Amino acid sequence: MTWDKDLLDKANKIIDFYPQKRSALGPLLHIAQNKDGYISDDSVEVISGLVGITEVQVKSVASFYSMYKQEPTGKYLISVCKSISCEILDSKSVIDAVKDFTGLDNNETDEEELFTFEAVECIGACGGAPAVQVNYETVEGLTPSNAISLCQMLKDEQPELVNADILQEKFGGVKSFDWAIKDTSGTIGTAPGFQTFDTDEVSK
Amino acid sequence: MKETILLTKHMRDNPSDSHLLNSYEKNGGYEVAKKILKNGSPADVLEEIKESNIRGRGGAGFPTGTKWGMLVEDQERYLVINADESEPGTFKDRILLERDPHQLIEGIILTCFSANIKEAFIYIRGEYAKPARRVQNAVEQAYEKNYLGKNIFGSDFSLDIVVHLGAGAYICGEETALLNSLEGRRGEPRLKPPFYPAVKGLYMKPTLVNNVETISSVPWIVKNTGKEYNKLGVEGSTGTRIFSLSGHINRPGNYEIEMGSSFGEFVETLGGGVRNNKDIKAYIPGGASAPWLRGDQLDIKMTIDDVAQNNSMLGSGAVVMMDEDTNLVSAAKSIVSFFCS
Repeated sequence: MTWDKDLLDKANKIIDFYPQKRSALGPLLHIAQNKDGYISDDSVEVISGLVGITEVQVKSVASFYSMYKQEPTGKYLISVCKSISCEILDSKSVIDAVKDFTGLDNNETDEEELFTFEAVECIGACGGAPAVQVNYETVEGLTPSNAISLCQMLKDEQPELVNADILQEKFGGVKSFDWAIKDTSGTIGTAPGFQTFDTDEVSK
Repeated sequence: MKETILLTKHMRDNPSDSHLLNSYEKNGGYEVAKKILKNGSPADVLEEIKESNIRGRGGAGFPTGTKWGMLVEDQERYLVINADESEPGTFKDRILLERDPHQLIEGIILTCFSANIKEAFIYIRGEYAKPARRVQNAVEQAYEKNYLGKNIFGSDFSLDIVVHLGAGAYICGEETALLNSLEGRRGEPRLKPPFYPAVKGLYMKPTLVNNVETISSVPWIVKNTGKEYNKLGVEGSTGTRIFSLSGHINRPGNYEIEMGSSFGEFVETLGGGVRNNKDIKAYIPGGASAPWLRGDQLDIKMTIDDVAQNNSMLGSGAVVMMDEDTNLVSAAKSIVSFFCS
């Protein structure tokens, strides 16, 4: 599916933020990721035209960054941190629990395209180790059993909006710091939820 | 041992709404920027920063005043805030972005006024979606009140800020890789020379690249003078610094302290001691890039120079404590696999 007029308008607005068009490449790839769950050939073609570089150049940049997926992802991208602070607080048991529940290995997606699992490097939640992100919404202080409950909830309820604060309250534990501010904004796809990209939403 | 609260004051005093413009302003926010833009000169700001002796908070510890002084003349110059915090163990910029984004914006205004810069970018790592939303909201609020845009505070100074999201690449914390990424390229470090972005940076134009915590310190320094800031901490490591403490600790978290206490004191007092009263086997004094220190070296002082003398580095201020039961081989493997990724 190619980009509709709304999406093209949005893309052109983003391009206008920058002194040089090419700087918008990263943001446009996030929009492409949100649209299809991966960087499709269609999107590569559209972006190449918008930014004025070749399709190969677009692909070369897209393949460099871990958040632009080359293959379709599930509705929920579960990223469990395995870096040092999480590792020494037994992130492995959380990784194993998620793998068991989903039946997935690293960077795999299930047949229903519900879950994609990945073990990732530091997500900046070291004081709340072990930590996980669902579509880049952070949950801190996870236990293996809470990780399973989290996946079960996603499977049963399949929420459109993923919100860090709601997940933290239900499934989280120790936090890196007091989050303090009540936050109802979240993510609606497998790109980070960000208002400039229209990939965020506020829960009612 | 107690914290010295400068940068984290507003968020502590106003926990539920510290991210909002009216809360920031009610507590003295934007006052110093207004004052300087109306009655001050760019040189005033630079003078205070130089006198404060603040060193960059991203990890390299380069003197901020010197960096600003190196920016060469050009019609087009840029400020890029490095918010690509991804050094394992580090989560101090996250709290500044999430809970006090206007402090950063005021710091950007003062920095750009001082350096005659008209456009700034805040490059936030893609995994920091929530912090990025907060910063974007704050930027929009600031535009609405004309604290950003044309003729800020009725002065003849204009400034635009763009919040830019990264896409998952640790290497982009390195400033030339970050600039490539912001230009829409693969985030690979540039060949040197040119050595400094202050000479050739974004779009090969003179560019200041500064860390979130560094620029968030600017309003306090300009308001209270560089001289006062310089009185805090110790020589060579002045002011306060936010340390991210994690690992086998009773009270992990971000702590704003004056540099100069020992790691042991830090852990025992603010950190609430080691979990289950265990001993420390080893610790990381400044993020995953820093060589480890042994548990019998906890008397080392938390300053840039003291840690360097012990063959490690204070780096990003990420302190990771590992207790006596830690499998250090597995821990080391985690670090190695991080740098391979």
